[in-house]
Amino acid sequence: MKEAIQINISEKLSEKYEEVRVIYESTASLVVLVRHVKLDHERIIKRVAKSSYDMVSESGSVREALILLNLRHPNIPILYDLDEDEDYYYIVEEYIVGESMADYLYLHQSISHSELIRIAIVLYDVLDYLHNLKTPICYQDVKLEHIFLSNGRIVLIDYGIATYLKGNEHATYATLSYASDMQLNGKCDTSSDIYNTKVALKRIYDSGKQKRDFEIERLLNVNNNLSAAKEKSKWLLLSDKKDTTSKHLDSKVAVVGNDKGIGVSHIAIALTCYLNNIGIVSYYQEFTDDENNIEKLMLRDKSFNERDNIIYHDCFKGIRQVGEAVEDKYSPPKGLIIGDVGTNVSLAMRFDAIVYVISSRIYKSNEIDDIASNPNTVVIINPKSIGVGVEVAKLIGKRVYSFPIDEDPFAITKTKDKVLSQIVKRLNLGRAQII
Amino acid sequence: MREKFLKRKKKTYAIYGMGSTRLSIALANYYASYLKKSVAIAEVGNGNLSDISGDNSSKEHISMVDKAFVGFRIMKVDYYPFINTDLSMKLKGEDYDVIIWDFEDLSHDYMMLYGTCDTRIYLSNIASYNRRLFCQNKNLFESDMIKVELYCYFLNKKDLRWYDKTVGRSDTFSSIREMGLIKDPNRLSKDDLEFLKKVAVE
Repeated sequence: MKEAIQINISEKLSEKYEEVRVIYESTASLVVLVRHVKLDHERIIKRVAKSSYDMVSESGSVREALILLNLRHPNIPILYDLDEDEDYYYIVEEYIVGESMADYLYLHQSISHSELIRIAIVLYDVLDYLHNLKTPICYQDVKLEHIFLSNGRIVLIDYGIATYLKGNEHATYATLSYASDMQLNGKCDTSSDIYNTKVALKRIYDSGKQKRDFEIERLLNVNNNLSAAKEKSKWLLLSDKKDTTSKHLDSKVAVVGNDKGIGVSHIAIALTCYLNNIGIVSYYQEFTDDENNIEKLMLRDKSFNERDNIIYHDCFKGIRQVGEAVEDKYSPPKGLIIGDVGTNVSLAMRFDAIVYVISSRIYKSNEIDDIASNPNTVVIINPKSIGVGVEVAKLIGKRVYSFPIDEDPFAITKTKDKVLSQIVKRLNLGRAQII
Repeated sequence: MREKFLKRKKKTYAIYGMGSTRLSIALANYYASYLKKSVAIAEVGNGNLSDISGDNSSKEHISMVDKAFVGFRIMKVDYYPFINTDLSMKLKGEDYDVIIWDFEDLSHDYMMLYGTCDTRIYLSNIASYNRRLFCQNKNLFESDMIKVELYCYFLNKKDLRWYDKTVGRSDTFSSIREMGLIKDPNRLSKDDLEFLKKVAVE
């Protein structure tokens, strides 16, 4: 006999989400693991009781939600939705599986210097993003418990005491053992975040039993605080210097199609998002003159941000191509380039790896033999057509992948991930810069 | 659907005053090279736009534009010197995302055209030595129903106070802003782009 099913989420959210199980429960709040019905993607819903409104914790959840709602960065948890009914607030967030840095060090005792450098780069990247928003945000709470490790991805969680810096009208909070003098005096600005980060990184460094590294110690000096961008660049330089085994990858992957309108750009964007999500820094770049996908994307949705000619949105990063009349003083970013080359096969052949997209109209692929014979080419058929896919696979002597039906190239879904992970393995991207 | 609408909707600018050609070229390059839109600059009245084809420091290929009237293209911007009112109607019908009208002359014949543009910009200088000329030119706009955006070079607090006292309460200008100094309109820097983003209509 089945147990009576208790409904823990609002009516509006239950149209989109299916409850899986309760992860955490307290008197005032409940965290439920849910599945997005259409996207087949797991998320969590935090239910916070309006009746238990309290200055520190419950209002913090809603405040955190209001801040996260406007943030889009691969190392910040995504907040998808905010809902309420008479009794509760419902906050729909990304489901992050992993452990905090504090728990990790407790179990493993130490961490390598290269990992420490990686963590530092990520933290400063997040802070740089927060500090450079239209209304800057001071995070105020960098500590080991809030640095989360999830399948190689580092996430800075818990924005409960983050605050917008609007003149002098912001509340200052801090964790005592991480607080700067400024915070202890009831003030905060972006330098407090830098201070807190250095304290956290020093604790990670001190936990290790490795030899002393004077270059790292110099960067951990709390008396010399620069902006987040400058701190990050110093750590990146250190990373380049030390990193002999896993150099960042400056490779280019071309996504090319045998015809227009078969989803080349869609797949290129999806691939970029997938790679960033698994920790390989990647940038989408258009190499076609007639399309202008990045401009169109920015028109449709205001959550796209731009800085130094790079467009950011969730896990997507795109390079804005500028014409001859614009000075291009930005040095190309370090990372993998996913080139959308349209149908320009000869251009694609100049890339390090190729994702060749074919439609089910097989007669369009006269040059498929030439492209497929390239050992670093993967063939995808879009939309899925098993008969044609099998025929092509026999023709070229290679596996052909089917791209699933996909509404949103920016969304990370299980079915897409499965295909893209196989494709990435076949592309043999080697070691790439992990963030 | 919205993208298609935005794409179809043409934006028009009318620019008159000191340095109108420089701003026109910079704005055109902003749209063409940064936003990847199709852009035309049309010179209304006798000006120097045709000299650009001879003074092309970037040495980019200049092509003739294949329309019913003479023009040339540099770095994806189409230039049309010597456009009169008849040709202006033809140009309006062409398929451009943005048309920038560079007015050398605001006589009665051209005033109608100026008034029909989405954004009207007047470039001037309200330093004390130029105020008489400014006030004379201001009279050109006073009969207009739609407002003009004023951009002034080297705007300082003293000039602003004078402006607020004498002009501020009138309906002639919708706004007064400082004009950015664009060193090279064919080679836009980061600062130039920031300034042009503010000028451009969203």
